[in-house]
Amino acid sequence: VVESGKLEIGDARKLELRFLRFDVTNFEKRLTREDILALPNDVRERLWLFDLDLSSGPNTPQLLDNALSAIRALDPDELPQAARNMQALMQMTPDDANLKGTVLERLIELAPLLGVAPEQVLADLFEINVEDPFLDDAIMAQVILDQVIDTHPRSRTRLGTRTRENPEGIYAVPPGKLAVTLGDVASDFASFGDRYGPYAEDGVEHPGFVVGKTLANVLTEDFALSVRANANALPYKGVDLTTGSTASVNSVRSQIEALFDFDDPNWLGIEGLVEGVPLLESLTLRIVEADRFYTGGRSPVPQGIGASDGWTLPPWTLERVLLGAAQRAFVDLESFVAYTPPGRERAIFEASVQKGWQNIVVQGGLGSPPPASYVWDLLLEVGQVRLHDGGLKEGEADVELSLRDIPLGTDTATLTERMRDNLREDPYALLDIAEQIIDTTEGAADFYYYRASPGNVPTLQGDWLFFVNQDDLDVDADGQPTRSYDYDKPGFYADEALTEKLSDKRVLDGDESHEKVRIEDDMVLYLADDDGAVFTIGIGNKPSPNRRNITVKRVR
Amino acid sequence: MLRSFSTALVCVSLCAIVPQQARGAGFAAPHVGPTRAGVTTADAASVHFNPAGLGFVTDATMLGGANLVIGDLHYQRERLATYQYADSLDFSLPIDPLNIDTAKSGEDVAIETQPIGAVPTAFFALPLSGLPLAVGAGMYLPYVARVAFDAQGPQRHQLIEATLGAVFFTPSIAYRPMERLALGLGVSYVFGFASLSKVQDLATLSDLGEALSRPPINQQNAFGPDADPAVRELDTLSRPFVFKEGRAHGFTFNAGFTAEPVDHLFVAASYEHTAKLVFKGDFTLDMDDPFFTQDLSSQGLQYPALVRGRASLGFTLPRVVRLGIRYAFGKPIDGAPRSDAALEGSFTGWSSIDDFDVRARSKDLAQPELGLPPSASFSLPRRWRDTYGGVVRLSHKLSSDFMAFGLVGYETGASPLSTIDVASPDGHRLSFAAGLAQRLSHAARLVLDVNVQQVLPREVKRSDYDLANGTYEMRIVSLGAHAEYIF
Repeated sequence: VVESGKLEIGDARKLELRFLRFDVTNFEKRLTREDILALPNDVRERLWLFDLDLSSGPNTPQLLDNALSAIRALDPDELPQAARNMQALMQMTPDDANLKGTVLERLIELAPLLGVAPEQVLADLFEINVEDPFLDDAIMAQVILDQVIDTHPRSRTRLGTRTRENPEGIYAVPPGKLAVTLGDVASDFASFGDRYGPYAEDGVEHPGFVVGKTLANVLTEDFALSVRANANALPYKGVDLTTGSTASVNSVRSQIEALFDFDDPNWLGIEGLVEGVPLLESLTLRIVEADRFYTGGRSPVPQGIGASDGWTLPPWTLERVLLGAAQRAFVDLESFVAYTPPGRERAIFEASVQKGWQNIVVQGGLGSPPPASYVWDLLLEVGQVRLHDGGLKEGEADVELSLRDIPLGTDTATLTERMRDNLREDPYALLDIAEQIIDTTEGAADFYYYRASPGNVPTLQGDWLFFVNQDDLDVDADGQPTRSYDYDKPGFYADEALTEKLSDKRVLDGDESHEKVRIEDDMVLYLADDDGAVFTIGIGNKPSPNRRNITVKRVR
Repeated sequence: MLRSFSTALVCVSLCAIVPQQARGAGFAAPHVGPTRAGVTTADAASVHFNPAGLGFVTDATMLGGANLVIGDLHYQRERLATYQYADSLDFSLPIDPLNIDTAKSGEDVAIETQPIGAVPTAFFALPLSGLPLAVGAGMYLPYVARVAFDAQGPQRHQLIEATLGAVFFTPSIAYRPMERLALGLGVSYVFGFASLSKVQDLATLSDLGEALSRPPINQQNAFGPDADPAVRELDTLSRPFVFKEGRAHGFTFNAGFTAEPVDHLFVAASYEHTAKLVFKGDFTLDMDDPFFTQDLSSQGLQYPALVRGRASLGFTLPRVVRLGIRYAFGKPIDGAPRSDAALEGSFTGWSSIDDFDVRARSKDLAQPELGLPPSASFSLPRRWRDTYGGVVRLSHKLSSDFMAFGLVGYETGASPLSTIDVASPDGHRLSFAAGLAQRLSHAARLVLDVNVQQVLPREVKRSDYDLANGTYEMRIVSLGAHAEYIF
């Protein structure tokens, strides 16, 4: 028997294991913003709080709508040319539409002949007032959401708790929503810039829709998250066979089902959020353009879409956004316009729009009308021209709109409730943070000592040894395991060759993930550590009800 | 320098190692000097008992020697309360019935200890020729105790080992304004030394209880000085505490008178004032349990395995009033009656000791996240009572060279049933002493005596929190050997 040091072949060591319960209720941990930011990044990012609904609707936060409203309100003189052009495009009305260089340029020529202003022709054609924008915010917001935001690979999934069913811990995010994590909130959404910026992985590319530093005014300086847990706060005591020393295994994971008392209104405390509706103090939205001019289509097929090359663009390009927005706005447009000059009985200009397909007929050789096309094809061209106002060349019109103080769209009381509800639904989401709260893993145990709850049937009562599993490994400051799970033959065996397993994963006190074996005096077990060394465990007596003496000996 | 001086003083006190308990209650020594000395006698030992006695000393005298003290203490703990398993950790009531240790009830194993030690004394008396004055000096240990038990015994939460002593260095002066009256005054420098070890039950500390009840641990608990026995004596919270090399310095005085209103009848009384002693020394607190060193570190609870620091132990030595009457009678030998009889009584103000306060300070104690400062304190409640005692002393000279003496005495005990424990296992005490004095030369005399003190057995069932219920029995035998030299 050797007293200390690594166990060499033939060395044995006597150890005493203790199963001590420190059953705490309302075991509170208060995490300040600094504490949260000090948590491993993986833990922060995996603690999903809620999905921020970006869609337009009477009951949605309307963050995107707010952002578009903010864009309209920007002082154009302070904007870069590309942003100014985008702003102008969003506000473009028949009155200020610049049709030069577009297929509608012919309308300019026709209008004097008809005795009406070209803007009136446009307004009549689109069935809007002369001073109304072609595209309203709701449609623009929805299209940006669908084509720019929802197409970002990181928008569609989020990280969450790793479970046996979902070992990667990757979960889908519903369309139209962005997942918000504890890390986002604690960082005042600064993490949005990284997450939703340019993406290029595994052959998938996206230019991103957020650039620069995002900053939200959601938290006050007093922000804190407090969690109350009911648990045995002490770790399980086990043995690191390699060193022949005792080690501790965090017991929280095994208690997750009963860890939180959801009937206690204070089980989760969120304090220090700003009152009312928080603001996104700084957000820069980005949409990139294609590097050439795309003409509108001239064919009614595919029906309701058309044949423009713009449809082949990635959905997140400006041109495609414009095309999509216009198509969505006017796909059901039905209009008919006829102009009869004074003194004539018959109209000399007839324009009809059916399901968005416009067809202009001019009588009497008054000029050359625009070719038939979908109205969105018209707007595509008009919009592209507008985007290059100020002498911007193709490829220079990428738009970055820096916005200030955009209402998040939902008040913090609602956010708090949503966080509570979500975490209540999935307490496993708090598992990582709970393990941080009760961070008790120490050393590199290969197995640990467990005493079954007295309520078990007699065959399950008594002392057990549990072989560690992947979840029991200690993690570093980044939340990553400090060692790999390199056990070729986890479990307890009856022979040195490790062929006759004595342990199994039977359900005991809710656990079914560990190899476990019930022990009694004078038993001898064989097992291997993560280096492949084989040991025996001689089960000794119990000096007291919650203690067990064992002798560990390395045999090969 | 001071430290080495202190060490020297401890050495001077020699083997000031005696069994716990003594003459009376508290931690007084069985006797100072020969048992024939008392408040009414006049010899060099009067420096301690009554400095006025020096006024009746006729020759310069030196008295020195020691009492070899042999103790015999028996204790059998009886648990009357309900306890949980020592390896559990239910910290609030009620305790889960499954954790109740039904075997932890009734009588525990009997323990005993037989410490042996010697208490030295040295006195000097000098009548000033031609003046109604006499001076004296003494070095003696009126308070001294030592006890040692098994570190794993059932008393370990009360005490494992203790050494406690107070060495008095006293110069005295007596003034005899008239033939039949003497007044005396002594001033004492008191050097105290102490060490003790015990298993400190952290469940009894209010600091820990409050810290656990506050965030972040936030657990209401039954810990504190009034903790129910059910949450006491748990392995995790039972931490070995050692206080060592405690040193204290204090001053006090005594004063008295002796009168001889009629020939051979002496009436005397003396008063010894209190002395406040604060022992300062080193301490260690063994916190080597994962509960304290690692398991709750994320909650801010993390001590080093061994906490080291400075500690103090403070209490006040009691005031003592002695009074007596002695009558000398019988056929004279060498000009003095050959016999005398004395009746002496004493009052000792042990009620000045309410508890032993231990205050420890160490940066290792600080647990900032739990609001625990770098200091801690605990007290050992004593709530001692004043004691009263009396002795009848007889002596008889068989010849001019040989004298026999003896005494019978009784004293009440200081420890109430609520706080009695092996650190102060006293009670009603009967004393019997016999001795002889043999002249060895014209100037030298040898005094030998034996003093037997028997504390009547106490069966205690009302100990606070069931800490020390059980049966106590103690006997002390003191063998004295002193030499007296008359110049």
